[in-house]
Order: sequence, then C-alpha cells, then structure tokens
Amino acid sequence: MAKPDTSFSRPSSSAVVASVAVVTLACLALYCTWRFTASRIEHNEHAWLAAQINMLVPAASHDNDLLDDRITLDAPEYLGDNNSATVYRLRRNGLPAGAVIHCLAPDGYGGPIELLVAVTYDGEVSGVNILAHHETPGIGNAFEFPGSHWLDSFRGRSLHNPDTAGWNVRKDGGMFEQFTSATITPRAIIKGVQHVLDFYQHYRERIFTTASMQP
Amino acid sequence: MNTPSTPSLDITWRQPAFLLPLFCLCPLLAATTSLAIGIGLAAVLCITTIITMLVTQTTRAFIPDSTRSFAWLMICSSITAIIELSLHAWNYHLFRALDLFLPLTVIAPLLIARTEMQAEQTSAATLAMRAVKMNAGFLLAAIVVGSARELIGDGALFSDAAAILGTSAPSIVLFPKNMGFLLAVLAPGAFIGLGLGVALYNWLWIHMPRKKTGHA
Repeated sequence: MAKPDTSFSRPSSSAVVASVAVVTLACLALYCTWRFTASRIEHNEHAWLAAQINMLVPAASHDNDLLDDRITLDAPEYLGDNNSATVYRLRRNGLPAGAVIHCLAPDGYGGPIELLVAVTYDGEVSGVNILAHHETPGIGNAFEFPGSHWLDSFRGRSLHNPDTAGWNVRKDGGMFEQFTSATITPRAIIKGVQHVLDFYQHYRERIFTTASMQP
Repeated sequence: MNTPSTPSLDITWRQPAFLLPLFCLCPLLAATTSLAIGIGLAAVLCITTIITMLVTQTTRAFIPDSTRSFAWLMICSSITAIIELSLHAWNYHLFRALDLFLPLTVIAPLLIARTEMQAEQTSAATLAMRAVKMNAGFLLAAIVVGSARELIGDGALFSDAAAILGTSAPSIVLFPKNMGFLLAVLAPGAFIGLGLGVALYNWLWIHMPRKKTGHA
C-alpha cells in the first residue's frame, strides 16, 4: 500500500530541512570550486587566445607584447550594437605595424560567430580565424579542420580588393566560394570580415593613439 | 483517489528510464572523434559516477524519501558542474574537446542515483560493482568508436594523446591525415560506426556457440 506521506500534499519539516541543507551545500561546493578554479580558468583562456593570435601573426612582424597592448572599442556603426571589438596592436620599433581584431560576426545561422582578424597597417587582411561558432555541426568543417583552406581566401584582401560588391559569396555575385551548399555561414563570415576592415579603416587613428587598457 | 500506484513524482522519475541511457549516447557519439578523447570522456564519467555514489550513499540516511529525487538531482548536477569547472582549470584541451557535451554527462550519475533510489539499502560493494560495470561498458564503447573514427578519419591513433591525456604514448600513424575519410570524424560517421558495431555485436551474439540460457 502506498504511504500517504509520500504525496505532494504537505512536505514534512524534515524534508524541508533536508532540501534546504542540500541546496545550501551544493551552492557552497560550487562556489568554493569556482573560487578555487577561477584564476586557472582565466589563465587557460588567456593562453589559448594567445596561441590563436600567435598563429595568425608571425613573430617577426612585431616586437611588442601584443597581448598586453590591447584596447576595447565600441563601433556600433560598423560592428553593430553590443559588439565591442578588442584590438591587439602590432608595433615595430615603436611604429604601428598592424592589428589583430577580436569581435563578433552577428549574422551566423546559429548565432554570432567569434572572429579573429589580423590586418596589416594598410588594412590588408593577413589572416582570419574563427574562435567560436554555433553553426550546424559539419558546416564548420570548411574552416575548422586542418587542411581546409577556405579562410585562406581572405589573405591579402582589403576593402578595395575586391570592391564592395565582391565582398560576398559567389551565389550573391561576390568572389568568395560558399561551401557545401551553405551560404548563411560563409556570408556571415565574409560580411563580418568586411565590417572589421571598415571599422579598422575608420578607426585606425584612434586604434593606434589610444593608451592601452590596464591589464 | 488513493490508488496504490506510485506517487506522481515517481512516474516522471521512473518513466523516462529507457530514455536516460539514450542521452548517454550523445556524449559518446559526439565527443569520441579520437581515441584519446574517448578515453578522457570515459575517465570523466568514471570519476563523476564514483563521486556521486559516495555522496548519495553518505547522504542517504539524512534525506527523507519524499525529497530524495529532488535532492539527488541537485547533488548530481552540482557534481557535474564541479567536474566541468575542474576540467576547465586542469585539462583545458579535454574541456574544449568535450565542449557542450560535458554537461550532458550528468546523465550517468543520474542513472546511478536512479538505480539507487529504486533499490533497497544496498551494500556499498554492490553499488561499486554496478558503477564499475557501467563505466567499463562505456569505456569499451568509447575505445571502439573512438579508435575506429580516428583510424578511418585521421589515419592515426593517439594523435592528440599528449595534449589530452598528458601521456607520452607514441601516436601511431597509418596514413597521412589528408587521405582520411572525413565522414568518420563527423557526426554521421559516429552513427554509422555505432550501427556497424551493434550489427557486429548482434552477429556475434547469434553465431556464438551458446550455453543454455533462458533467452531465445
């Protein structure tokens, strides 16, 4: 026979005490773990980002500490709202040599795509990397897997090479390949890179004269 | 309406029993693109289930029946979150490889907790045995699927072991990566691989000389 006291009707006081105790202990344990791991997690993320950036820019192209020489800028007219760009500045002998711009391409199929775009001082793309995306699994293989060279097609491009119409997928009359019948993802990336170049061109002065953020 | 059936809480808790292992398939299929990642995932699961068992066993006496399912849900998810944070801090490569499938491993401790809930007070040894069996099965599946996918897709074994497992096990290279069969590393490859594995298992099951058993 079922015991009536296991129904929902009225929890016993011991049940309430036990629940509160479990929730409190769980929160406490989580908080302690978080406090304990936070600095290591931050360190890991930082190291990972550094590795990604160093993959994009050859060590010989700059002589400053790129990761510390960074600023964050808001440019809603080029990058959209809620999309501040973190700019890492490359300098050689004290002169600006280029930048690595970390921001979002907002129009991905599954949400924003996190981009890392390296540009030379003159505004020519020297490399593009995707840091994070939420596209359909498999679509990302065109740029995720080693041996896929789609992102290389940005190298050497600038705002005038190709012109505005060319900054698009083939299907839309542009000059970039789409991959495996997907157009939304490449379109978002292409537009994202184009907007980053636009942003860079208009903000270049400010990018290199603003004092770097306090670490 | 005091029918002698189980309370409603138990229905929601017991009914999807057959679904729970299915969710376990998710991390198994998605996160076993290489042998090292498969072993890493199995290790994570093993640690999670053992901790869950210890905690649920020790708290069992203090938690009344009526709140047990809530309390253990809370405990299981906290343990998984703690494991996730620890992995993020101490094994970043595995953390990135498992990605969003890490939270899904909560299913494993939930399964353990569920069997414990239904069982009468069982001895720790029985439960340990159960956890070991479950994890051994998962490890075996992860090794089979992981190594098959890595072999076919990348032409190598243990290619990422140094980063993920921290071992210096030599990686075995059969053929260069760009000759690999990409499908095997992608999600459909996992399903096809698992399907072939189950087919092989069934074939063996049918054709193996059988001792007398009750099943047909």
